Amino acid sequence: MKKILIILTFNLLFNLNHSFGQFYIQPSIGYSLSTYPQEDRATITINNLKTVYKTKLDFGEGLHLGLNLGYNLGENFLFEINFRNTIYAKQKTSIKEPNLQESNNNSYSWSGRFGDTESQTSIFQIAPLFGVKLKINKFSPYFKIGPNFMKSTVSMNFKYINWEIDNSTFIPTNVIAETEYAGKLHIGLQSNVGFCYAIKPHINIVFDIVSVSNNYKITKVSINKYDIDGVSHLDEISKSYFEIDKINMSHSGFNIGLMYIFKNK
Amino acid sequence: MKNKFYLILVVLILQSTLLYSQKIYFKVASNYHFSTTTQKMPEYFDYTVSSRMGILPVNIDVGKFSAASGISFQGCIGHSFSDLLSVELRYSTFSNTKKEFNASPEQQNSANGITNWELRQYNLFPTILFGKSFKKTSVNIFIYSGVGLSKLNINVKVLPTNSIADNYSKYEFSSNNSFSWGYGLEYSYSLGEKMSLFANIGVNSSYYKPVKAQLESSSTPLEYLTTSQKEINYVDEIKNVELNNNGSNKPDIPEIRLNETLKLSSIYLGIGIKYTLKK
Repeated sequence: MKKILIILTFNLLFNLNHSFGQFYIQPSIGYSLSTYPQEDRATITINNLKTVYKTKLDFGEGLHLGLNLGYNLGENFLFEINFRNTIYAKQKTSIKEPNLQESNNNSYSWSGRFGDTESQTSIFQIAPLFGVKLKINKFSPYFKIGPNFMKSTVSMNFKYINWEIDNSTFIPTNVIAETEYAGKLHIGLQSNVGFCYAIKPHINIVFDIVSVSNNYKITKVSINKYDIDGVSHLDEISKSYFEIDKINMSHSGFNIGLMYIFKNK
Repeated sequence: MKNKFYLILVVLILQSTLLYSQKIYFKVASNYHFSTTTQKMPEYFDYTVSSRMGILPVNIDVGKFSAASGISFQGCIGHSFSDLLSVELRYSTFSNTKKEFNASPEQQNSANGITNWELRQYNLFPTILFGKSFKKTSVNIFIYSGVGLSKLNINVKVLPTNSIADNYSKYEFSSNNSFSWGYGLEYSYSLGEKMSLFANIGVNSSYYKPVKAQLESSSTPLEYLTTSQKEINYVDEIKNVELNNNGSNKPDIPEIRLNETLKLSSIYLGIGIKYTLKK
């Protein structure tokens, strides 16, 4: 069965140039910015003076590689499948922790998470897109739209201090936690606008703007590490402490690609 | 001498208007926007009520919130440089249709509320269009970005419980600049020499960050409320803001909160009419 599939695939690739008109393949590279960053706040009040810190994690943001497999339906319509995979999406935020041991006689209260947070996101997207392309000499602006199917995993590392009170004395305990959030294939919306410029009859350079709306549903939370002062307390920590329902991966970005058209009419 | 100069100027303006008017057009359109994603409801204020049990916090949080669904009306003046390239200046007004949001998830151990969001946006969008004509029809791909003013009112109504009677408040947010951008596709069908009908599809993203809010009315008479209960200022940074001994805000100054952006992402469908001055 495998052999038959390989033969058929080779046969298809070999004959693509002659059998079908207007098939194209387009590798691309691009960078996207998060349009719905996740904001967190941490508040500390010392002697009735309140300071609020804001941190931002730009999920959906990062460098990605893309591949479009498409077919031009006549001169003005197109159908394609767009694949994109992130190759770099790391973030780091930090809120300086108060040293409660130096509190002396000050009154303290705080809420929210202080310390360092690191995240690494991997996103794989498939989008079947239908579009309109206007051929104006060598220049072809286009608009494409379709569903966006996303599969993502987010690894997050937290490093912070938990304060315990013993005989009115604050005792710091260093916490390191590593968590992983994953979900199933989640549907959103993708649209692209841009233009192709023919540098050769078969080759176009493509400048593309992409917008994706996808509020990604998290279905699985794993806590891989939970150390307090270097000792594992993984069995004691509840998953609900780190639970997240959704991570908004919506983003807008810019791609540059090279399109090879198998046969020009 | 001065009058002659003005006369020449008027003649030149009239002449150029007549020369170029054949390429000037006007459009009016109406679009319906469908929200494409949600965010956690911005925390523009905390809501509390006085009851027999003292001051109680009210849950008004909404996990999946969006004010992006709504109707926009557009009017525009455009100029065609050729069949292929046009520019337009669009004036657009937007108001949301999905206004009411019940606290979600509802909390069993506290009071829950309903917020009603009324958002209006007035925007100017410089737009560039690339087009192609086919006999009686034409297709344009457009991209725009622009700024505008946004106005927001939020009404809060607390769901009555045994210990809380009818309670409501209305907050008015200051008009502030908003930024929008988007792109789409327009398909026109010519009805005659000067008139054509068009339909469009597009995506729009808009961002609004209020800087001030004022309590306009409330079930508690405003004269019984302090300045910090009636006014909120939104700032980029909160550092060493003085509070009362019990941790509450100083009563005689507005409450200070960190600002938050209201984000609107939508896909829209619309129809309109185009009138070309002279063909």
